[in-house]
Amino acid sequence: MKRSAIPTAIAAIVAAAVTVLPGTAGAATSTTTPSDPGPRLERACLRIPNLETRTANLIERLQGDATVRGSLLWLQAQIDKAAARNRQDVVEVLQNRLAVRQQTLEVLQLRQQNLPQLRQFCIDRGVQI
Amino acid sequence: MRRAAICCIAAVALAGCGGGGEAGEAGATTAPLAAVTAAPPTVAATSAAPATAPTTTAAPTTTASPAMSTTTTTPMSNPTTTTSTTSPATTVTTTTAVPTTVAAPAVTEAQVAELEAQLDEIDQVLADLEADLAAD
Repeated sequence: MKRSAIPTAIAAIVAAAVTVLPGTAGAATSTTTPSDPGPRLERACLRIPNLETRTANLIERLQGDATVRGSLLWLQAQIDKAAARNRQDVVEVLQNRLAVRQQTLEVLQLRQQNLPQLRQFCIDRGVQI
Repeated sequence: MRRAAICCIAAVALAGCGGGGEAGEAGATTAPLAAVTAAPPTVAATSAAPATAPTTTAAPTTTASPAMSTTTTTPMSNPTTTTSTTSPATTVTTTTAVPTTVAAPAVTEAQVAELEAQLDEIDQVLADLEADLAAD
């Protein structure tokens, strides 16, 4: 009985230590994470210039004339061509695509207005963009 | 005459014996000396009293003249130091640049998460549009 009781006691101590150590390790990581959001903020802020460039390029492309592939006017020209060929199914697909693209343009224009505020948010907190 | 002379001598002797009877004791010779020496201290005490009196009157002159004069000069120098404190006040206005650096540490996890969410949303819109344009 005594020989069997000692290993169980050791096992209980080891189990308690194993359960305590992850608890302390988790507490340590949870305390370091909220105390230093700086690197995470810097990574997020460094995405802003690329997003600004992509947004500006895509808005310019959507607002291009009928010769610019993918622009709203170019898409409208494609719809007119399909209608002239009496391809009503293609006309419907292109009209739906045009409607989505118009909404996308409005969304991009709003996001383009918000990006300077996000950039300023980062600059105010010491992140050099 | 003889009686008168004897009486006179006796009277003198008695008078001397009156002192001498007391002087027959040992302290009788020191007693008058002490009385004589004790007398000058009383005189000296009376003369010392006016000696201490001038010193006590001299003390207010020493406290009055330097203290009043120096305290009147230090207030005159204090306003000059207050005018010099106006120049530190201008340097304080230069330290108002500190609040710009104070605003930097005010970043919370929630703010960073919100910034990331907005950037992810823009990134998703751009990716969808780029995929749509690639299909044209």
